[in-house]
Amino acid sequence: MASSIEFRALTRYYGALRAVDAVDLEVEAGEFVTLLGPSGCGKSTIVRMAGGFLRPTSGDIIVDGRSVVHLPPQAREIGTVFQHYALFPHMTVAENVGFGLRVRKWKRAQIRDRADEMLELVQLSSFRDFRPPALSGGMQQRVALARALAPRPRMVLMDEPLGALDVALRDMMQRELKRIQRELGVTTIYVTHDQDEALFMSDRIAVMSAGKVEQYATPHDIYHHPRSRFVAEFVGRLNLWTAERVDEGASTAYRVGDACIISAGPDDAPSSGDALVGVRPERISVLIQPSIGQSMLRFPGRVEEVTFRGDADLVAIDVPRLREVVTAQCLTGLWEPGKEVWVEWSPSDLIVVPTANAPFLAQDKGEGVGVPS
Amino acid sequence: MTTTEPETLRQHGYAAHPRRAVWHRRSFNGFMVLSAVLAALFLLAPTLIVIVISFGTDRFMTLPPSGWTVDWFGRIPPRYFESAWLSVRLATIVTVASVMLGVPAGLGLARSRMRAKALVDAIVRSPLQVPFVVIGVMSLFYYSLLNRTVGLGLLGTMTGLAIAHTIVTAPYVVVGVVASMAKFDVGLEDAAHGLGASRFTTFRLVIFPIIKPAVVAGSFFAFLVSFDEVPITLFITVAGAATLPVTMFLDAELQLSPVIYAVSSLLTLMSIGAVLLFARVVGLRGAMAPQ
Repeated sequence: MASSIEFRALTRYYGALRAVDAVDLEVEAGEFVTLLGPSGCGKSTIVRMAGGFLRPTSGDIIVDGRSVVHLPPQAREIGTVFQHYALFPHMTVAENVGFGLRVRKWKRAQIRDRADEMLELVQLSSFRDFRPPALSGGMQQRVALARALAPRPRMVLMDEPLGALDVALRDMMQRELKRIQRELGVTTIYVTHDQDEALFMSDRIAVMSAGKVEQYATPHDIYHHPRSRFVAEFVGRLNLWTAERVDEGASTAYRVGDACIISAGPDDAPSSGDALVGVRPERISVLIQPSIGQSMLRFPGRVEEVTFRGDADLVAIDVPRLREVVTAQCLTGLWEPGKEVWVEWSPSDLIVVPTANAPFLAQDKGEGVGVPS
Repeated sequence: MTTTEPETLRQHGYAAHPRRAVWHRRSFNGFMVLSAVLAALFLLAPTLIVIVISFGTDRFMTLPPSGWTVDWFGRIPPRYFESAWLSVRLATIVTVASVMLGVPAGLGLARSRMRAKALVDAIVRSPLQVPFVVIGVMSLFYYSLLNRTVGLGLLGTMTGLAIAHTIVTAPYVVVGVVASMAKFDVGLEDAAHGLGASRFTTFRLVIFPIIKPAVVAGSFFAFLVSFDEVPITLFITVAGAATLPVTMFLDAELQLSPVIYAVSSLLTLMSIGAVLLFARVVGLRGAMAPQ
């Protein structure tokens, strides 16, 4: 059932706009891969081309070693779940789920059995005779999933399937989708602009920007080892500083402001010149007095602003030695502006973003925290 | 009056004078019913009067009639039945042509994303905005021109009438199809294709069921408009081969014989019968507003 899919130099223009720019991507059989990026980054365009609904301008799409780029959607055996469900309004839930089987000339009894099986999988058995407009958004999306999976497709494409749902429902549906995907082991390409969704659900994430894949890696690597400034700023919050690399004997160090920061992680940066380094707000401790830990990096500062975030406070701390304002994530209600504090983090929490284009960085200097929209 | 009523009214701000509020509402309701009855009478009066008169003995319009008879119905000349048959055939052809042109045009318009879409849409709908009499004049001019230049004789023929009628009836189908498609996600077709359905299967199982009410309603209008059409037909018909409404119009100009009232009564009753049948079979409300 599960198939692998591969994009080779996949390119799509809309007029003069390069929506998808020579994308190479490999998805293994049974893998759950998310295309993550802001709107307009080309992620939906890739999925539409994979489904056969849109012709690539150039490049190839390989499924199980065979090119499918010239096949119409009918011949690809790829299930698609659309953002707005696209359920057939004049058919019942069971008829919707059975549509792909009816088209394939299955016998009536077989269609009924398979539809019942799929509806059980998405826990909608009691709604089999309802019409889609009578169901809630979450239910409709589950019907759409059951319909896509019923003909045992070689893989499933999901284009922002939860985009139209409210947050609580989205949370539940993420678990649900993940459970179903694991249960069936079906290869899945998932499109979203929601980083939490991507981090939670995926085996691998392809972070996209302006038609290109910025980084293709596991959620852990995407979060802890972003390979570009875009990835670092798009996924999670991050204090990001431009730094100058200095050699400090055995370990690698970076000069930020007047301070020297040691890195303990794998060294990705170019051996000299400017670099980008950062620390995630949740890895920074804020203390009244410096701790006695040996290995910690610590700087004195003054609380400038406290932003309430519900589950945590984001505390902005002016750190003169870094010549930066550092954002830390703290328990709520601990700090108030004006307080003299110490900020600390472990050298292993330093994120080093490799970058080749120093001039571009210079122009963005002074930006403290990357807060994704 | 139930005991709960003042409660409800108080909630709506009538606390000071609950009794007066109830009185106001009652008289308002009465006023609405009266207006509705008057309006219905006003609208129905001409039809009712014609039906009443058609059963009267008088040669000239007299109300109330001095005696009652069904004689006039037996004195309808055979040419009325011939032209009625012509009208039915014409309206049927026009209906079929309207569907065959209107459905593809409507689907194309609903689906297309081309820049000139609004323009094409306006052109397709334009016959509904041009006065029928103008279309009549233009058809006469155009058919004569065709006759003189290429020897194509359309004046007074069934084909000529059908073409002219279809110009004004096809838009009813187009407009309905576009409206019914607009309610649904364009992704439906992609979804069907992705599930393995061919273009034809997609049309049969997905598109057609969605536009069916619009097509039925559009055909119904096309048939009625064609059957009832005078201004265009008048210009391009020839004596002896006229549709029923045109025959009646020409006869009424010569003399207002009670025979015409008899024909009118018959037509009215048949129309009501047809609408009732249509409502019974398809559901009028369902056809007017799909889903």
